[in-house]
Amino acid sequence: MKIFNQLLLIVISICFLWSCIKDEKWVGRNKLNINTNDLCFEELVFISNEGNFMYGNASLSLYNKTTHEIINNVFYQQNGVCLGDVAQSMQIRNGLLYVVVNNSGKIYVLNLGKYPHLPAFEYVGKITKLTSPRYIHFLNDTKAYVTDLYAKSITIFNPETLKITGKIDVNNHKSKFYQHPTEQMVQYKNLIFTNCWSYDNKILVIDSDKDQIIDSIEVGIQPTSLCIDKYDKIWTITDGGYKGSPYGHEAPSLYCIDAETRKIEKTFTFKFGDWPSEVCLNGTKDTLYFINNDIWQIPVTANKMPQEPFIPYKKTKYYGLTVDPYNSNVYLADAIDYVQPGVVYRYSSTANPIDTFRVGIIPGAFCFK
Amino acid sequence: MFFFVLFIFAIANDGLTQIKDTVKINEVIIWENYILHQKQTGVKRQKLDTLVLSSLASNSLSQVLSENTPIFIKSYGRGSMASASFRGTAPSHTKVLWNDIEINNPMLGMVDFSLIPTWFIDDVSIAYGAASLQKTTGALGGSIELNNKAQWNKGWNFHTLTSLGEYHTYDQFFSGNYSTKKWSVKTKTFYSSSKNDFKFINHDIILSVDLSDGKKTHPKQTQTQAEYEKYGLMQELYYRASEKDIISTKIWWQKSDRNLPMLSSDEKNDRKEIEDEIKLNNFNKQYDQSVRAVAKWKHYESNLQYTTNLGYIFSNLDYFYDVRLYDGTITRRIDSKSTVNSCFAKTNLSFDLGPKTKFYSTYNFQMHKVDSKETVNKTQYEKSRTEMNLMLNAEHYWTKNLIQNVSLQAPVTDGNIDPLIWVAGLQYQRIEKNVFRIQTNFTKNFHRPTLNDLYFQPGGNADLKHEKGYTGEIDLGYSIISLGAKLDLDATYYQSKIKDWILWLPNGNRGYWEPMNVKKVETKGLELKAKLNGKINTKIQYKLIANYAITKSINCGDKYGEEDLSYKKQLPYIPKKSANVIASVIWKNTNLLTHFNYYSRRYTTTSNESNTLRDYLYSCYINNVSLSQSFVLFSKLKAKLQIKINNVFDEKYRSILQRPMPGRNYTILIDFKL
Repeated sequence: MKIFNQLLLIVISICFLWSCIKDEKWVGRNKLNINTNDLCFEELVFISNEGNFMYGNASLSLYNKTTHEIINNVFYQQNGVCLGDVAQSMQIRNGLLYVVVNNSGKIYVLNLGKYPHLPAFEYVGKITKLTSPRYIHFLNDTKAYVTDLYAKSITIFNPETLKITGKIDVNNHKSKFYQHPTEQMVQYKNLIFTNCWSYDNKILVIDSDKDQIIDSIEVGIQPTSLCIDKYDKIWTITDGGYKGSPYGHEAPSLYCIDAETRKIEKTFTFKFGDWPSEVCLNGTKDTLYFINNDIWQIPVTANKMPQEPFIPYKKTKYYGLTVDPYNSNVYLADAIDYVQPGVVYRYSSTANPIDTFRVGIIPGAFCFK
Repeated sequence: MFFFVLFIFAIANDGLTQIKDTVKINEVIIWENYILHQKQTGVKRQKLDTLVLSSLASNSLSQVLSENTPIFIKSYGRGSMASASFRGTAPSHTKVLWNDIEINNPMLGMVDFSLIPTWFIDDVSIAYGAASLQKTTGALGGSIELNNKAQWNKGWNFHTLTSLGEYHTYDQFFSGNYSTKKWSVKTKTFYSSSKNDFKFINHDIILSVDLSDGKKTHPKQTQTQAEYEKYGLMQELYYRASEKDIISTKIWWQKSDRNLPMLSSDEKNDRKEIEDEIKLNNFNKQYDQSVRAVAKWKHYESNLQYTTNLGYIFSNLDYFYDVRLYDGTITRRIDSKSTVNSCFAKTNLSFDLGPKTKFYSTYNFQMHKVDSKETVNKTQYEKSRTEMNLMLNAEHYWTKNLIQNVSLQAPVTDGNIDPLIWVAGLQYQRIEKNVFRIQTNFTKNFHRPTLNDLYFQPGGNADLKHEKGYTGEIDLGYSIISLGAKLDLDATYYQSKIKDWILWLPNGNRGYWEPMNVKKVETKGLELKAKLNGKINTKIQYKLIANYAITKSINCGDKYGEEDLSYKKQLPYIPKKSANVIASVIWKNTNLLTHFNYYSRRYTTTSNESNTLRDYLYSCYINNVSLSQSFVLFSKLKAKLQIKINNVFDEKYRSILQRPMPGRNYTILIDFKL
């Protein structure tokens, strides 16, 4: 029986196992500590990776155009904290990088030189209590707008103090749908134009002196993105909704709107069932790019669509697109299966492949200084 | 507190030894032969130990399964949704049957195990792989069978259990039974609520930074928006119409009201800097309500058994997400409501075709009607589906020890004939002083897409194909009785191929997800089980149950382009290794019980990175200990006082990214039986 007693004791002891792995061990591990004086902004591309919705696995990547070096997880490595849930967009302003973390309801502010004694990407502040922030537009050093998918308002904050200073009401009481969900912004004189995508069809016009909506432009169903060219023409591309949508389903279109008159000047209509997105411009703002399965390029002065795509479809669904303002290189984001680190393809302005590099999960937005 | 409890135990033991008017009889141990406890040959079943069920009566079934079986439970937090992965498959590939009717939600395909109170269940059987086909189809991993049982001729019985735990947790359970030789009536109720306000240091948020040197602090937070309240009633009625006929009805009504906590990185809400006060700018809530009813007639003859079941399930799920607008008003951003009505009819007939052949057949009919709507975006679908299935099963004894089993099933969905399902099994067993068994089976099974997969707006894909599974397994069992102890050993190896695995993926920039038949998945694994029970002397009994599983669930589908790194990698959130051990020592009226639970690393990406904390969830080792003392207060009134320490070593762990779990916590349980 003594053997049994001993056996029992051993077995019960084995049951009590525990690990010593704790979150704290990750803090400070592989810390980047990049000196901001070493950053050559003309050579750098900042990439935000959305991560999976409700996983909290967004991240930030840094790519060097000259050396082709890629550093992933720069926020995590520098700060020992996850970036959050769905990194939507970024802006650089006055030596700071502003990262909008959509489903965490915050904007992280990181050092890119404003605090020379601190390393690059070091956390220096945040704006919180936002509902579903999407994009930032800086009006001046003390005023910026943040659009929002759910808040029915645009948040105004002071970049110097990082305090919220006001809201612009964009609530559409007349609609039976949840409107207006504001997205990207472009500026013409003192006017800010913002597209309303989800279950909406408007481009809102905001007077930035009065912080009020003064007008709206009706386009097709669900304008996805927005840009303004060298001739002050605003471009937006709609996705046309989806099959069975209570808001309607139509052929998507590319619209050219005159910023001064706010009238639609040109419309290019796609096939019913197409899904174009991500309209953007090159550095000289004279050539337009967008995704419609393939990647398309069109001069802003053109009156008809090209026959051949700029970069053909490559057995994968392109998720993000941007054009380098310095050299018009094209960066294409591929989310692969959306649950693994994505890939960015870099092409020259003449569609020759230059580089392919792996970033974080669902690369969505790019930023150049 | 701890010493106070010890003191009570000491007094109680002392007091009980002084009871002189008790007639002592010699103890008799009856061994259950679990190797031979099979309903069907060639397949693997596991019946959960009654000690386990009674020790976890105040918990949900999610805890019972994670601590006692190789099934992996993915929990979104304490009291939050818990889904199962059985043999490396998806949650919808685990079917759950309550008294032979399927309780998986036909919209989602899965079961939320956090909403099944163990208190309501008398018997839990795990049907691995092919074993599930005896009662249901589509369980590519396996099925979990929950049953209620009648008591006969016991008169009145009452049982109450009160549980008081940390985080403002209160559970109250009651059951009352009355039985004669002909009638048995059982009523069970429960009420559970918790504020779930445990504290944790939130490393996913930066509280403050010192701009002179970049030093950061993290908030010590109290979990918010994690409250839950659940309550339910179960009524059972059994009538023995004759020596050969039993008629029964069971009704199970349940309601739950849960807040769903935000991710730990969330900063939408106005949280006062260190603690508690929080002004909610965003919050979401889920209400579940269900009524399940089943009527059964069972008829026995010496070589024939006939059963008919009729069932009905109504379930209602409301989810909403509210946001505070700039002017302070609250508006509803998501308002999703779904109602499911399901009807079931099932007949079983089993009889002997001569001395060596047994025949078993089942006809199963199910009809589901779903109404799902989201009133803010105004999306909705209303669909119904009819499923029928005829199963024929024959079992032949080639010798006393060698048994062969063949089963064929012809399923029909909405009038369309589906591919045949089949099982072929072979079992050899030798019953002498020790028992040895070897069995093997090969199966073809399929899983229908859920109604959300087909019709959800936006994204539902009506062109989806069934997921098809091919499985082979071999199982060895050995039982030995020696030196007053019994040791059962079991080892199983299985391998499956699942084609047309359905996965929801974002469709480019469309802003919503779509299900597609994209994956080919190979699962294989090893399941080991050991069970030892016996006694050291007349006063001390012990029991040890250990499970260990290796699960490989590998993506073998076509690559998404050249850059896809997911090929031949483990599916996310499925641990390669898992183990659990239960050790129990009973000394007189005192019982010390330990539960140990281990999961290896779980990846959160299909490419299995380990670069940062968010790429995987590190392995966790959770220990729970309970000490209980039984008393006899009056002649029939028995009481039990139990103290439980959950997460003894204060392990910091998560089951899902950014969903913190509570540290060490205590619960006191008081139990009365009359």
